[in-house]
Amino acid sequence: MDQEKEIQELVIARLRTLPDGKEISMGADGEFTKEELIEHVRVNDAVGKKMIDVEMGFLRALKEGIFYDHNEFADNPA
Amino acid sequence: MNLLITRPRYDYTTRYISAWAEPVVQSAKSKGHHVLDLQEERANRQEVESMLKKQTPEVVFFNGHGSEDTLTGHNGEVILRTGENEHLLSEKIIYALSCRSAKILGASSVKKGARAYIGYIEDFIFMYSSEKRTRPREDRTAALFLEPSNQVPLSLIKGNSASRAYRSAKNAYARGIQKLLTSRTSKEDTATIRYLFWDMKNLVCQGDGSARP
Amino acid sequence: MAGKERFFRVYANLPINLREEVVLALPKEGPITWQVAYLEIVNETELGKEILQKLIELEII
Repeated sequence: MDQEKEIQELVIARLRTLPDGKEISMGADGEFTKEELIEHVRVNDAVGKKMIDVEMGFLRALKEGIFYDHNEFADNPA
Repeated sequence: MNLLITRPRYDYTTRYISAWAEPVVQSAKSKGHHVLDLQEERANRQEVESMLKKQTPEVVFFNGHGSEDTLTGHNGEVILRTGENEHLLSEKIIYALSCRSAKILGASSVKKGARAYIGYIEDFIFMYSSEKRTRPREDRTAALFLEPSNQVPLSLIKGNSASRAYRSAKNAYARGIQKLLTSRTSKEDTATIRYLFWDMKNLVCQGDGSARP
Repeated sequence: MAGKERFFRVYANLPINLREEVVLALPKEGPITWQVAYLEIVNETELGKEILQKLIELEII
């Protein structure tokens, strides 16, 4: 499997675990159920590519431990 | 202070963001500010331009769809477009809850005199409950996204600087995410984290961060 | 196993709630969660090696 396909399958697997009864608003692109998002990822259109960006961006951020980064999360009023 | 707010309402997304803007309207009114509330059909280009020119609001809160170089109002009508009328935002502080508009329109507005433009450089994504979509204000899933977003205009209404308003929202997203990361959170709510992170990451403040209404 | 230490560092720092999330989709085994990955890697299985390699390639660890 080439890497692009691997990433697609990973994102689809993650989207399958989204809770039932929820929808995702993606602005002007519309509102989607998880089944619809999975289809968009499968055909790799603009919505699908955006979902891939969201999921992979999140996964890759986890290794940086950014959620514990107090600089990012500190209150820094002007 | 004059606050101009657009609240189109023609699809689920705009219904949600417009409904969730109500606390901002109420807060502004309770502080004695004058609120120019353009709802539904009134969120059109002609009215927005007229208000910007004649009422000279200090703070503008746009709700609606958008793109890198446009902001839209009711039924997707373009109300602001780069190179056409963003100069009307001169001397104002803007918060745009509108996909991607900070990427080009925001930067251009600042070049043409907007004091500060707080918005998103990517799509604003949020999750909501299908069963609550006719009652957006009761939707606790959507609240996870729209309450942090509201911190921008709520902070500006208090007279805080653009930078402070921006940090308030960032911190609200961050606190929300951290709470959701604990073992107490349901699997359902955990699913929202990736989208909250996306929105938090893509919220930017352009222009003069020290600008206050 | 190359990259084991990287995996353990990331895993140890992963919020509890996220450990049940899918982190990989393999052609034969299908979806793999962080917890499944941990079990295979800590027990130094062939599958664990494959998982590690994929996580590194995808820049997830």
